[in-house]
Amino acid sequence: MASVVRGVVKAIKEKGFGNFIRELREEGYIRCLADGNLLKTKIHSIGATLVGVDKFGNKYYEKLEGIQFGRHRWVEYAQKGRYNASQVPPEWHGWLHYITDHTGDELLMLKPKRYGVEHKENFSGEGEEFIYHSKGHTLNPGQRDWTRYQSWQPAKKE
Amino acid sequence: MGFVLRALQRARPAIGGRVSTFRWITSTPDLHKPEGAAAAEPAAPEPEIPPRTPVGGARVQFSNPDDAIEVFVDGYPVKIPKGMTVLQACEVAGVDIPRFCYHSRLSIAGNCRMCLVEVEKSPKPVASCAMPALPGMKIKTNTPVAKKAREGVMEFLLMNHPLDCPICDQGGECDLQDQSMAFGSDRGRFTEMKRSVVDKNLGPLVKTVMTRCIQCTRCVRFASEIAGVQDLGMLGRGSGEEIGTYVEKLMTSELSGNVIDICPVGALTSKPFAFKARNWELKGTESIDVTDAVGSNIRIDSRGPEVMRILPRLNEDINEEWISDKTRFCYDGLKRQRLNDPMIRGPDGRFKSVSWRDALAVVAEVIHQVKPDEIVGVAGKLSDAESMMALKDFVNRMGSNSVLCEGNGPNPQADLRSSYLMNTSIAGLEKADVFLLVGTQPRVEAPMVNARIRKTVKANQAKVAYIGPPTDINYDHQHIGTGAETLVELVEGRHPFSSTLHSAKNPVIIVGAGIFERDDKDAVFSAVETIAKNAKVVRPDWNGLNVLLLNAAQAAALDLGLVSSPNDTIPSAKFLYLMGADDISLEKLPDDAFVVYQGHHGDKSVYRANVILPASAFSEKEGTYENTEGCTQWTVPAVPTVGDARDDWKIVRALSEVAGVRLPYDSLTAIRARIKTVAPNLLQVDERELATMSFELKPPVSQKISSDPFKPAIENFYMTDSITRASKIMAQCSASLLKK
Repeated sequence: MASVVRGVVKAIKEKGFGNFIRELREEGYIRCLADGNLLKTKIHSIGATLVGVDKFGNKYYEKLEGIQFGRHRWVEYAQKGRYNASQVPPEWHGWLHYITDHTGDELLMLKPKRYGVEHKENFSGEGEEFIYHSKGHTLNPGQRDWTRYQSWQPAKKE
Repeated sequence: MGFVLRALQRARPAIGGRVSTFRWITSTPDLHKPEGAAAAEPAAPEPEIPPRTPVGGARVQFSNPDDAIEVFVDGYPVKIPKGMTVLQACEVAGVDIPRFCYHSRLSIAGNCRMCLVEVEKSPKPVASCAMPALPGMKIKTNTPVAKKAREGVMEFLLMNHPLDCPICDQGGECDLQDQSMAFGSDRGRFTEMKRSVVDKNLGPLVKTVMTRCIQCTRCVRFASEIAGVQDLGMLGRGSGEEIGTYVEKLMTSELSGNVIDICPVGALTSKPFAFKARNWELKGTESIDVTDAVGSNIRIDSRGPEVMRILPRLNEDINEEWISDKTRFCYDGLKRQRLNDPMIRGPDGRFKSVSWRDALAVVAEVIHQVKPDEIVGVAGKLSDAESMMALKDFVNRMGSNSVLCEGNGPNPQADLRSSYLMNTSIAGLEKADVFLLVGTQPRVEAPMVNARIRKTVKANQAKVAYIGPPTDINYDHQHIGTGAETLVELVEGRHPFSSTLHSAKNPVIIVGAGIFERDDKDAVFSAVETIAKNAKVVRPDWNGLNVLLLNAAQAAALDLGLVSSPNDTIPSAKFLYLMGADDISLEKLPDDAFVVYQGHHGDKSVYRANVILPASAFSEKEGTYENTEGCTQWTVPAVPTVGDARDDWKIVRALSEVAGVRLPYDSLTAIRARIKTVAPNLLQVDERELATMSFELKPPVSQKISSDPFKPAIENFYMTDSITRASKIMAQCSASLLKK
């Protein structure tokens, strides 16, 4: 506990109070007071090793001692307000689910350069504009116009 | 193991239903080899085969009963006339022989070898398409030898054929695909590289992927025999064999689209249709074509609201199985420049979209403000009989008698049906031996009629004489003059061609409808009739005096009596009702005339209109059309109408009600009943109503023949009406194919 307080005092000294509070909010320490999941993750992360951070800012932790095997890897999502599992990019998925011991940073090397697409999280339930509709889908905005003819434009006269 | 499994399978009923859900896969590798299959099949006596129905309703006609010979197809005796090939005999017997190069309307090439059958006492399998059937021949089509031969041929054909069916436009309607499924082996032994061939550029209509070509030479034979252009040919030998134009040259034929249909693989496909749709997504609607007066039978393939392509439909009397390029590729015009809302021209000269109610109210108000004899109705070249009937009734009820159809010229002679129809009929042209073409260029006016004439010239060595402006005719002909003075020479018998005409057995005279626009047309027609009388062109058993019309609406318009003269009526018109009429000259129209344009395309006349009423095109409505030989046919709606458009006759009917002169019909049946009182032949669908020819009934003509040469009736084959003028493909064609 004393070390935590010492760390806080040191951080305030280095960054100034305003910056410290902002960082506190960005890191989710404010929000975790209301969000039990987040609080649990924060407490869990004390003493764990940070294995990597992906390009979205999700942090991947691992702790080998004093924890049940199979629960020793976890992620702290970059978004503190709205987080879900689809925010984990594929290269980290394997590491996180104990499929492989290679971290996402290592697996990123294997991503095809030419046709590898960017990871997109699942926006289901987040509103029409987030949802991807394929080209032929009725709800694709590009497909709304079913007119298959071109009408004569009177303005073209003279 | 296999034995145990089979034993289990046999014992299935005893074991119970549970086992029956399994299918035991067993293998008999020795049967997969064709040699083994031949050996495995025991020489059992042929089982009795029930009589089969001929393929595709094939019929045999015995012109001379003595010529009948009997052959045995798979043990089944069949009587055929002498001179038929083995393949035809098999078709009559109800056995469909696979083939690629053989086509019933083309000469026999015999180079694909797919039609191999076994003939008893013949050492090798014979190519049935090229082998004449001999009396007592025993043909076997499903013996191991025949099957093995087909399988071998198919393997050779597939050796160099690319495996690109998924991206091939022919996929789904490909002969090679179907026949390799039906007759091919399930594996190939070819492991080397496939041959590849450079694609040829055949113009804006035909897309070529020459690597897919199997060298059946159908396209080459079609081009030289039916289209009459010597553009395509075979180059090289062996595996270097290629179809191509000898030098970099486009295929300049008005029938070039038909090579797409006859190509058994995807080597020649439609360029505008490329990658647009798959053939199983399309809905076919059997309709007829209205871009010329022939009324070719077509199938409109549509997907949802758009026409995707147009294909020919078999009609031996009209278009056989070909259609012209204009018919086939005009469909993209149906999607461009469409009128979809009623519009009224405001005081500022701009059009504004309005509702039907307002548009009809404005027209009805104006029509009552002009004098009855200042009302003129003009039907366009694409109008159907129903709408022309409604227009005529409407204008007559308003008190005017000025209704005409564009293209029929001043004072059309509509009293005798025979004076404006092709009396010989299109199929009847094949019996002719001398043709006299007067002021008509069938190649551009009616390509299907031209194909018939060419067929006759090829088959009977018929002589063709042509009077008219210099033109490109794709068969042997004499150009005997450019104007009416040649006719005078023929009347007086001074011309050398007179003797040919007089000695002919079945002479045919074809007069072009372009003559209708001439001032001295009565004199020209009278001269032609004199020639016909002198040469005995019209006899009880033969009527060779023909008029070749230009537009789909012309014949029906004359039948229905839309016979006003535009020169007399238009200069004094105050209210002009244009029903799709775009080619009528509006220069003499008074400036204060009120013009209503009812039509489906924003074409020439729209710019003069005060009110636009959108109507449906031929692909969207049910309509009756009469073709140049007097055969009545129906169009059928293939796609929905665009926007707020309505059928032509419905618009006129609605307008009549708003104007207070309600027409007494409100369904197609009722309007057809009305047509029946005027021209009952328009209700005899798919039948030719013959017209009797009588020279005596005609009034004497006092006109003098002018010495003006005949003018070409059509300037640009690819763009003749509002649909084809709106088409991008047709614009490309006229840019690249007509440029010399």
